Amino acid sequence: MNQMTRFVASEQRPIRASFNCSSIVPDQSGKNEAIEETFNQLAQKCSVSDLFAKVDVTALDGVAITSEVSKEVLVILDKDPDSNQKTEALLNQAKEVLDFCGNRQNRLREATDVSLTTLMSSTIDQLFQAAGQVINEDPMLVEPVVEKIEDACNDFATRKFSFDYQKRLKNGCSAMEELQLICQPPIVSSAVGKKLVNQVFSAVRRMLGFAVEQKNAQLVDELWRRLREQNIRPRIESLRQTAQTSTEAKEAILDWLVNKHQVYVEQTQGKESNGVIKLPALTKDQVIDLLHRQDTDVEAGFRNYLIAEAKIDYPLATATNGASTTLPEIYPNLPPEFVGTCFVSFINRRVAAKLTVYKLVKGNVDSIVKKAYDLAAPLVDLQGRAIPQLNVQPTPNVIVSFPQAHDSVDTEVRHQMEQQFTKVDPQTAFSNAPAGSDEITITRLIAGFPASCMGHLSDQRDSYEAAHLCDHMMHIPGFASFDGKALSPDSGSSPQERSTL
Amino acid sequence: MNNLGFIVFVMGGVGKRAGIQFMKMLRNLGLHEKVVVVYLDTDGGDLNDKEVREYFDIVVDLSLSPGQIETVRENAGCFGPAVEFVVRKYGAQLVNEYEAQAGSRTIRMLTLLSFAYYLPAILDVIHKASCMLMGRGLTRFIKPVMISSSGGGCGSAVQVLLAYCFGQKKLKRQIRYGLPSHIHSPITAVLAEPFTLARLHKPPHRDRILSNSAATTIETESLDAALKPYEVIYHLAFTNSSGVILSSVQDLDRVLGNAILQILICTDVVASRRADTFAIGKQLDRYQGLDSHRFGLEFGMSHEFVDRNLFTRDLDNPFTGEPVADEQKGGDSDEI
Repeated sequence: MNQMTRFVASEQRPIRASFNCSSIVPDQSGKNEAIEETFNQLAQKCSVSDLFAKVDVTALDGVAITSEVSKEVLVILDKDPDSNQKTEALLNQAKEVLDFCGNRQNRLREATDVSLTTLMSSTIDQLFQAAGQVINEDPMLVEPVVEKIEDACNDFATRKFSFDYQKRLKNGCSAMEELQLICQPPIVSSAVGKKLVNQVFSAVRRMLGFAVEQKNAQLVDELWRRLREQNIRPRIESLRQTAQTSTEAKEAILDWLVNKHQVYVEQTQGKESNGVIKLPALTKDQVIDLLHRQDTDVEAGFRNYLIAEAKIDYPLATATNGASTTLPEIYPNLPPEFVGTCFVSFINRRVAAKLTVYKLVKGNVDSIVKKAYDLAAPLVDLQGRAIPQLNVQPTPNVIVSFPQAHDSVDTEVRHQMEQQFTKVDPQTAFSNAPAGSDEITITRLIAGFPASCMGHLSDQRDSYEAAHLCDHMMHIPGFASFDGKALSPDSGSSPQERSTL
Repeated sequence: MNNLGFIVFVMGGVGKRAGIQFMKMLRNLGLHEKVVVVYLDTDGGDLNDKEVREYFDIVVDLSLSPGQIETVRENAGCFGPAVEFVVRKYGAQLVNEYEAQAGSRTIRMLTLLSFAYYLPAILDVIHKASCMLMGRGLTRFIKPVMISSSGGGCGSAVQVLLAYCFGQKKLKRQIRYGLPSHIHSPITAVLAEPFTLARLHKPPHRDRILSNSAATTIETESLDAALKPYEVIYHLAFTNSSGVILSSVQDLDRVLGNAILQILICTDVVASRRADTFAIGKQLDRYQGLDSHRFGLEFGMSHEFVDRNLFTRDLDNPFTGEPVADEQKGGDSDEI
């Protein structure tokens, strides 16, 4: 009778469904190796040392400083002609300084400007004190004169006495002319005042001019001495480091590529069972062939990409002109990390446009479809004898989404895969993957089975009782139990009560 | 997806991540106009993410401030018999102003309190989402889709409580206030089971998660037996016999988001197959629908309780003062 009771028609219906999905994706690890190989080829065509160490020898200041060092070398040679080693070392230093000045002219100019400013400020302070003593005779003129002298000194210290002024001095421009340009007398309305001001300013000009004329030679000597002792020699060391950085730029980028590849491998290791089929990527030769098939001039494409990425205001005509220009001529100061990042991104984009999942599946459609179908299986182990006993009809559904086909080869492979999936399950539905996706996704559903047929559901019973013994309220009152506690195995008693009985 | 729009309720942390993955792909397909995504969470910190604001249409903050928790505790009777029961029995132990600030954290009772507190706002949000979909002029029917985990504290509880709102007559009428009576199809629920990921936690926490998952399965079954709000409940399988193990959050998000997208896109195909097979035999099959025999539990005891309104007191007969029976209140407008 009880058995018959189970067969009575009921309004209860099996509403449970389970699903899982798997994906077919291109393996990116081989692609990075191919990119590295391509980078080597590019580096051979355009050396990385040129890429990052372009010398622009147009800095007169750099030449001047180098000439001073060369003079020192000559003096040493005159004094001690036998010290070949020392001479060679100094010549090497001079050569390095020349390169340094060429490369880092802007920084050097800033540094020397600061040095000159410091020197001249102290000198002008002394002059200002002397001028103050002069104008003490007429206190009424102190304030305008002081203001004017302050302005003049500030201007003199910060703006005028720069390399330009130094060059003009060397070209014969007199310091007095410069001072007369700077130190203009204040405007005074009264005739007596004008006379006094002119007298005072003539005195100041004479003092300033005398001081500058006297100090000039000492100042230049002091400047070069300080530059040699304080600035140049330490920078020679930094120059060596810079040279090392420049020569090791290629290795740095290659290391960066290798590290990126290693990180990718580490990230993808151990995830082979996550329902993803990673198809082997193209070989290095295939990638290089893809790179050069459509756009033979990779450098030109890279230059355009750099312009777009770096937002450099540079004539596009030069970049697109092609063969006559090289990368260092366009981008002399880009950091290697940025160039390396842009290059890999550029190659990735170029390869990704050519490397579709269909081309990887081609020739191996049957086995890949079967494997992907198996990986997408949901975990419902409904036994065959339960189906007639319960009269349930678990219904499988398969949904396969395909990415966009780029050419006729892709379309043909997609057609083959659709046929294969239809052979596995005639009711398979097909859909289009979102734009930009390059994955084939297989989603399998099985609907209409008792919940208890889910494989791990019965395994929850232990945790269910353990949580109940810890006073965990797992239920919402009113839905399955009144008190939030676990349902009792026997009607009306909780597991805890059952254990006490 | 012809004539069919979706209100996708994403709940809790798993629902949020899967919803973001789902919406990214849906936008690339250009079908996002047929979907309104509503995000509900008791953890207020997750609501301010940039992606949440970008991909979700409506965000419902279910977190309770200390003052609100105190309000619930002191006025539990106003929030219905379920809240009244919880506060009466677990008040000092469970309803704490300061411990509830970090979300539910596997305590589904706290989600019940939040849900009861915000129930009018939630009903308004569902109504607003329905109006948004209808206003776009692309849909004639709306299918609620609920995405969450089954072992957490927020998603698993809100999943059941929202389904209750769609099934209970009075609440259902409030949801579709002014809309056509046939507008809402039965619910498609998606539950991510925590079998594999729960093993990453220590035993007490692990037991809470797995027991919550079992409780969610039982409650959905009880709810469907009483109110029949569901069309189908999908369970994401974490493993299968081919050796697939989804043991990381990223894999779970990928599979959950991809599969939900495919299921929704191919709703017509799936529905036709369901109608041809198991759905048509629901009146004739031998299956009793009582799945918890594997638990060794007596189940199905609270159908009558579920059928009543959990959140408001029953109307008393103004003449006799006695509670009015359900049959006398008047049923759903469709059934009249």
